[in-house]
Amino acid sequence: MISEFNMDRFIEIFIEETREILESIEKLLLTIEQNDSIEIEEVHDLFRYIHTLKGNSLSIGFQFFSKLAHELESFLESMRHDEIKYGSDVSKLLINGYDLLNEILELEIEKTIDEKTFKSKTDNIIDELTNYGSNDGIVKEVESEETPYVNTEEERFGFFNDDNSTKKTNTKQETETQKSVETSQKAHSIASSSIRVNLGKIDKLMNDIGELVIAMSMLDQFTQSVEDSSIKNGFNERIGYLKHILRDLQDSVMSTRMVPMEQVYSKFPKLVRDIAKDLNKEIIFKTAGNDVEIDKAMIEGLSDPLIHIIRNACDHGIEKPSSRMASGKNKEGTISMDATQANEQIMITIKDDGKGIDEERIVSKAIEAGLTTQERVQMLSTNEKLGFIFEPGLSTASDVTDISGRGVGMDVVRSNINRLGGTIDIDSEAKKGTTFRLMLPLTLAIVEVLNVVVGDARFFLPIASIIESLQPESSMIQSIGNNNNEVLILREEAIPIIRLYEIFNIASNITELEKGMLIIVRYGTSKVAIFFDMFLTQQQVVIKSIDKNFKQIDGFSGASIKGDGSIGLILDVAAIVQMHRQLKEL
Amino acid sequence: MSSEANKDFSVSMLVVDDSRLMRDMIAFALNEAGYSDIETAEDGIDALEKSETREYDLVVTDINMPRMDGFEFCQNLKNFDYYKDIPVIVLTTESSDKMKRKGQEVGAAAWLIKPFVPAELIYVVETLLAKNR
Repeated sequence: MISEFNMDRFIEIFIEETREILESIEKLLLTIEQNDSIEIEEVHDLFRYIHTLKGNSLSIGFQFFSKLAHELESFLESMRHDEIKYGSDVSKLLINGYDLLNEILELEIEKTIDEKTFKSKTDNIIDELTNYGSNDGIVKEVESEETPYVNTEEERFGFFNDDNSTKKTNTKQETETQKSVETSQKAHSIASSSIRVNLGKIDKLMNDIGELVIAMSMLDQFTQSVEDSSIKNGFNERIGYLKHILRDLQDSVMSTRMVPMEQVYSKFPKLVRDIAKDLNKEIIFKTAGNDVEIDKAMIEGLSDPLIHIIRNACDHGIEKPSSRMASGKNKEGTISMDATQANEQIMITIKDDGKGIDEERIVSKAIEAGLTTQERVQMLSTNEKLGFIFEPGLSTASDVTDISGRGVGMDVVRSNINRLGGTIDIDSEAKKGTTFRLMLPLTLAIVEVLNVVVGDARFFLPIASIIESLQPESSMIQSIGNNNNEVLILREEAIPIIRLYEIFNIASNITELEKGMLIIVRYGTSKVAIFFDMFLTQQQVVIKSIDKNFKQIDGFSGASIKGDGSIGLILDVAAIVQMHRQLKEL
Repeated sequence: MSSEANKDFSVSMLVVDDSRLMRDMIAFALNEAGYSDIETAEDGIDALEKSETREYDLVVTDINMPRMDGFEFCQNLKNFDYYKDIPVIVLTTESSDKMKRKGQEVGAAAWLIKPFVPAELIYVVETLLAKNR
């Protein structure tokens, strides 16, 4: 038998559970602050959460964390007994306490906390918690009788007398108890029909299905080479059936990785609140589409870009209450996030009703940075002009603030979104506000691609980014500028042409645009036409990350295994546009 | 504590706590001591449902839980004929008189302070099981 726990095996569970509980506390505290009042149920819930945190952290040996939890618990205990009444300073105090809990947790995890650090960080708040209300003449017991911090008494366990006193109470309360059993059974509608599964296991399963998809396309390819047509047809028929099952299997496994958008949203109410407080602004944060589901694997990559956009909206979008009122707006600004799902894609919009983005300023900065020319600007739509904010080195915020950070611009946001296989665009109206629109694939694991050919090389181009393809006539091609920049004129739109063989230095026999294919793809808010020799079939491939095994390769977002067993590279449109620009500048 | 030979490791136990960490720690300690038939529940209502479908030999429960707390659960449990003599151990953070009064009232058999060390839990469990045999 073991006499002591080996904590290593429990620490991960502790951290995960603690973060979940802290999230629930955060939600509750924000509601309380917003309503500027507290329901007794909310006090009980808060107490229970903090109580659990205290007990768990004591069990795991995080003594500083549990000490702070204990102080908060005592405070809430007094609230439970109505010894402390709610006031807006109470919610502020609790939120400060909550922030500190988070901070101390991280320090405990890093093992970088000692008595001195703990004291310097928490002395003030512990003082406030223990002496709360004492200025009003109410003397509060420092240590509540109910909740001693650490049990120092000798008694660690004990036995109740099992004489008939217990049975007496039972019969006395029989009817009452019976009733409560009935109600509790009614309340028990949410049967525990779910289990917790390690994400790694699901990833493994998804990966195995990926392998199956590859094996399938090998079989498919082999079948096409069979000469006897009756055998071939027989194979094809059965392969069709297998493909159908595989697709279902893939969908089922995918659905286990899906989590509601609520998980993505959860961190933003607090973020917006904190920034608003810092900047003396009033900002309402709203969400919609909380039930829309998103691939769990996507959340991590999505987090930074969304935080960046939200911070920008708070910092540069929403105006101060005074200037909002001066321009006839509500003094509270609103930032809303919405998610919808359609056509195997998720669209996330982040909208603010702030001052909007100054289009002219973006354009003049873009010309200054050599991203465009005065003449070219004439041909651009508003969307395209605004799209320049996604270019590297084009931050328009003249004053760098703590909120929006330094140096990291919207270009990083875009490349992060692109890495997820998504796109981002922007819409803004002066004085009315700004909207960002993110389009993301449903999954990171499998992508629908088009096989394209350049010289001897074959690549995969993600279908999601393709708008259309065509074989141009010479009248549709024009050269502009002196860098030999070619554009495709299509329905009065000028679309830059990128010759892929130039980018990757591939020997190709097809160099005349009229003899090959132009595939027009979406790139942020604008379009580019990529020149290939030709394209072949459309297929589903499983993405294998390259940089995980080797290093990032310019121009490609990942690799996949083809039906014949060889490696196929997946083109990264954003990176190709960058490479094209560099090539033309030289 | 009784010697190994006298122990019956086939007994079934129900562990009730709203915290996954605590459920895991309790179950782990029991497992390490040789008891393998352990089920868990997340709150009083969940536990009550499980006790209806199965007759456990011993129950360990937390007090402070959502939906139905440990005292109420214990009180309800004792309404089932089968559970009248089945020992319930209450896990608590405090050994106050109020807790002891309440525990007695609802028919619990023993209490144990959190955080507990495995040896204490096992001692209490085995004492109760030996008494019940």
